[in-house]
Formats: sequence, structure tokens, C-alpha cells
Amino acid sequence: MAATLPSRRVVHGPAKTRVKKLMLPFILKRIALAIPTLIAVSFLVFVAARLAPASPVEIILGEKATPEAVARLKHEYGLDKPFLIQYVDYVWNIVAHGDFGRSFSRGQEPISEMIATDFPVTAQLAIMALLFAMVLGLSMGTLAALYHNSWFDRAAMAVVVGLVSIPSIVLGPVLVLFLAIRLRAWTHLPVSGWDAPIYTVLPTVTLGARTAALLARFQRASLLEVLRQDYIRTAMAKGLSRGKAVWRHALKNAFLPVLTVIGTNFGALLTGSFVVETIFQVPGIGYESINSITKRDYPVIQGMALLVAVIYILVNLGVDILYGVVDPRVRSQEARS
Amino acid sequence: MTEVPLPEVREAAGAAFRPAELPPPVSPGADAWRRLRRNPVAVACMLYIGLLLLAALFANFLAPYRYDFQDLQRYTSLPAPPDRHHLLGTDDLGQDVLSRLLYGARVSLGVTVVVVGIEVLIGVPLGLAAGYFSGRIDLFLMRITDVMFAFPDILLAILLTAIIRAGSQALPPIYSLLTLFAALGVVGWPGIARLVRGQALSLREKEFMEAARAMGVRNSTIIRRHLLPNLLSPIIVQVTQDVAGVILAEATLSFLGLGVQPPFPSWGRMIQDALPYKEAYPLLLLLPSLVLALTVMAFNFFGDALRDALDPRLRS
Repeated sequence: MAATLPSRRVVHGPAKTRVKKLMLPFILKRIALAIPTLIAVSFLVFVAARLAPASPVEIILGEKATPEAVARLKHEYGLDKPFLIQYVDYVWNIVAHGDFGRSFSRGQEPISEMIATDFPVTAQLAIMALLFAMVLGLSMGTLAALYHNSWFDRAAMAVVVGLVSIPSIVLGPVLVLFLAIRLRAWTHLPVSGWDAPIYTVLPTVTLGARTAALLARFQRASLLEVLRQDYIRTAMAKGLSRGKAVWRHALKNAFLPVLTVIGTNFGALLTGSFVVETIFQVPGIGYESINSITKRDYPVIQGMALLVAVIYILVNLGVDILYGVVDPRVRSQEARS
Repeated sequence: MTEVPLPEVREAAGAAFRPAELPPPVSPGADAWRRLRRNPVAVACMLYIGLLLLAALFANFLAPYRYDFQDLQRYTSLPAPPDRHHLLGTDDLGQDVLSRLLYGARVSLGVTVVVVGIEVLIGVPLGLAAGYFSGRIDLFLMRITDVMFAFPDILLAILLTAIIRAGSQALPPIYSLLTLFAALGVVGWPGIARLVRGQALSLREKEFMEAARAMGVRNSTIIRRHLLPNLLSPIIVQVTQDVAGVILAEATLSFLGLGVQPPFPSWGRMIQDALPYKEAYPLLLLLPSLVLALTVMAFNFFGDALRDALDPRLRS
């Protein structure tokens, strides 16, 4: 009899044990769910590249190539193998050797080397934009919710509504025109490049502005919702000041829905960096990709797009897991279903 | 003996029983229209969008020049400020900015109409099939949309246009439009399919659907007569909200050199082309920027207002 009990004892044990028990399966399940998506996305990128009207061999050799040269190059690139084998090779080379293939232009430079030099720049830009958006958006949203219907609330929401609709291809050049050119004497902001911290100001603001506005809107709505809850009223009824009630009880709970917004928006920041890097000539993977398009160098775009898509999936996976870690309800729902 | 009351009698009886403060019944469309008209932001957006549509439709009458007309006699390779021949100046190729902005509306809205059309034509039938019939179709379709959603925003569109363009440099500029349609349409349909599927899934369980099935109405008739009319307003809302996104995507791709190719005018391309001259000729940059931002904003606000107006929970 006693031998069957231990498993039950855990279920009826203290809450903490129960929560911990659910954590690992939850995380593993999430990771398992992401794997098919990763495979499908890599396949999609691979198929998309094969849709190109001209094969890489034609692009490299031109139209007047001899059949022998074409055959040789096809063999060299593995293009004479069956389609699925090519795909498996492509993925295997990336996973096992970090090899994304070679660029057509730039003297057959390995794409992995281009990524190694360019990706840190894009990561810097995306992370700085995210931090900028979080600091500005969350503080604006929090203040707007705390002073609901005040002049600040109205002004902040008007700014938010405007920023959400202004495309970065408009915001970037206009910021350059007014801040870096018209007010050059005061701001000393450089227009392009990525050489010193001051170079990061305009790209960061351009990339982060829309996310800041979205976060402000979500944080405001979320905090207003939480402030209406009974437990906040209880906390204040037992004598907690409004500031303490907000700080200890409301903010943490209000942040949860905002977390998912940050996750989905990180993808927008990564793709947005393609545009922002082009505007400010920031030497990241976006700028490199757009440049290689004009050189018809599509293995580069293929590699970079795959990289960005995978990062996007992993970031969302991370947010998903984090969400389960901070909100026990998500895990328990998962366990029940 | 029962006597059928005369219409006047029935009306009088009805009037007696109807409380005076209740408004006469209105159709959902009329109700939404009334609420839209009361919203000043929505009215302003509708006016702007109306003007934009006129500009797009009648660009050939309104524009003082053709979009690709180069005034070479008067101008060198530099842009020129406004004068009485060119009200908003000319760009570095001697092309009239006003004319290109007007024709740009035609390109921008034309691309949007086609892309949204593709989205609806693919998304609605697939969403209906998945939601109404469920089963394997549903499972398969949802996996595909999962993968499409795993790609951030316009990355897939960039990838597709880049790849198609990589192999087709000698093609005439009109192909740039076809590439855009294909890329943005492929990227956009999963959103609509998901929406339609979700709505169809919940509508399927409603009593009126069960009644129709119990009466032996054929599936095709149920979908046409009962499902689609109920789906109309969420689809309209989604499409309106998608429009801003498609306009933005077209402008962004054209800005990156992947969208509309010259000589066709595109606001995004005009911004890109103005960048080298922004210091000396800021108007060249600011005009397309303003038009693009206003357009995106107008469709965003109008989409939100339309969603609120069509929301049955808010019906008076």
C-alpha cells in the first residue's frame, strides 16, 4: 500500500513542490513544439531560394558557359543531387559546421564569416532599440495609467497613436533631416555609420519608436485592468499606500501580458533593422542582405533570412517559457490539458 | 370566429405596445454607418481616403504631367524647387513631384487592392474549409499558417522579392509589380484564413446552423446563406486593418529597391530617391513622407473606427 503513495504525496504536498514538478515538462514540451516549426521554416526558406528564375550556376557563369563548366559547378555546389538531399545537406552543414554556404560575390566569402562580423551589429541595434522602447514605453504607459484621464494620459496617448502609424522609412529620414542636419550645431549627431556610441542614437530611436508606442499602449491598458482588481483594493484597504500597492502588487501582474507583446515585437525589431540599417548605413546583416540583393547574391539573403527567422522563433520560445515561469496558471492549464 | 386584423389596426396596436423611447429597428449596416458618421476622426479619415481614391482613379486627369515625363529643357540633373510650371518642384530626373505623388497613389492603392484581393481569395475559402469541415484539412492548414506566422512580418516578402529579382534583372519594370503582388499576397493570406477559420468554428456550433443542417440543407447552401453573411463584418474589419499594412509593406519594399521599379512612381521609392538631396531640397523628402504617413495613419484609424462601429456589443 505504502509503495503507491509517494507520487500522490507530491501532488498534495506544498505548493512550491507542485509548481517545480510542472516546470520541467512544461519547458520540454515547449521546446518540442518549436522543433517542427524550425524544420518547416528552414524548408520554406530553402524552397523559396529554389524558386529563383536563374540558378546560382547561371548567375556565376553567365549565359555563355560551356555545358562542362556548368556540370562541374553544379557538382561543386551539390546541385546535381536530389532536391531533398540538397535540403538535408544545407541544414546539416548549418547545424553541424555552422556553414551557411558561400557568397557569389565578394570572392566566395563564406556566409558564416559575414554573419560573424555583421550579426553583432544587428544584435546591438535590436537590443538597444528594445531597451529604449521598454524604458520609454513602460514608463509612459505606467504614468498614463496611474494618472488616468489626466492631461499627461491624453498627451501620451496622442503621441502613441501618432508613433504607431509613422513608418520607419519616414521617421528615420525626417529625424536625420531635423536633428542631424538642421540642428547639427546643437546635436552633433552623425548621419550614418556605426563607429561610436553617438552613432547609435538615431537608428535606435527610429527602430524603437513604434515598439515604444505599442508597449506604452499595452502597459497602460494592462495596468488599468490590474488596478481595477479586488486584490489591489484589498491591499489599499489594509492600509498600503497607493504607491506601495502599485509597486508591490500591480506592476508585476500588469507586466505579464506586456511580456508577450515584447516577444512578438522582437521579430518586428529584427526585420525593422533591415530598413533602419539601410537608412543609416549600419553595417549589420540587414544592410548586408539588401546590398547583396543588388548583386543577385541570394545565398546571402537566404542565410540571413533563415538566421533571423530562427532567432525570432527562439525568442518567442524564450518568452513563452518565461511566461510560464512567472505565471503558474499557464503551466497548470498546460498540465491539465 | 377569428378575424385577421387590418394592417392599420396591427400598426396601432404595435405602436401602443412599443415603448416610446426605443428607436426604430435599423439594419447592422445602417447602424454602423450612423456610428461612423458620429466619429469625427473616422469622418476625417474617410474624407482623406476618399480624396486619395479620387487621386488614384483620376491621376491621368489631375496630374499636370505624366509620371515619367522628364522636363529636361528646364532642369539639369539636380532637383528643382517649386515654380509655376511645377507646383511642388521636380526631382533629380526632372520629373514633376506632384504628378508622381498622384500617380503614386494609384500604384500604392492599386497594389493594395490586388494584394488584399489575393489574401481574401486564398484566405477565405481555406479558412472556411478548415473551420467548417475541421478534421485533417484544418490540422494541415493550421500547421501551414503556424509556419507562416513564425516568419517575422515582411522578412518573407523581402526574401521572396529578393529571390525573384535575383534571377530576373532583364525583365521589364511591370514584372516588379507582379512580384510584389505575389510576395505580399503569399505573406498576407494566413491572417485572414485564421480569422475566418476561428469564426466559422464557433458559428458552426450555433443553433441556426444546427437547424439548417437538421433540415437537410446542403453544405454549399449553408456556407453561402448562413456562414458567409455572418463572416462579412469580421472580414471587412480585418481587410481594412490589413490595408495600412500592405501600403506600408509596398512602400518599404520599394524603399529598399525591391518593390515598384522606375519609371513607375512609388512613395517609398520617392523617399529613397530624395535621400541624397535631403539637405538642399528637403521638400522632395518631406512630401512623399507626409503623404505616406498620413495614408497609413488614415487607414489605421479608419480600421479601428470601423471595428468599433461594426462591433455588435456596442450596438445601440
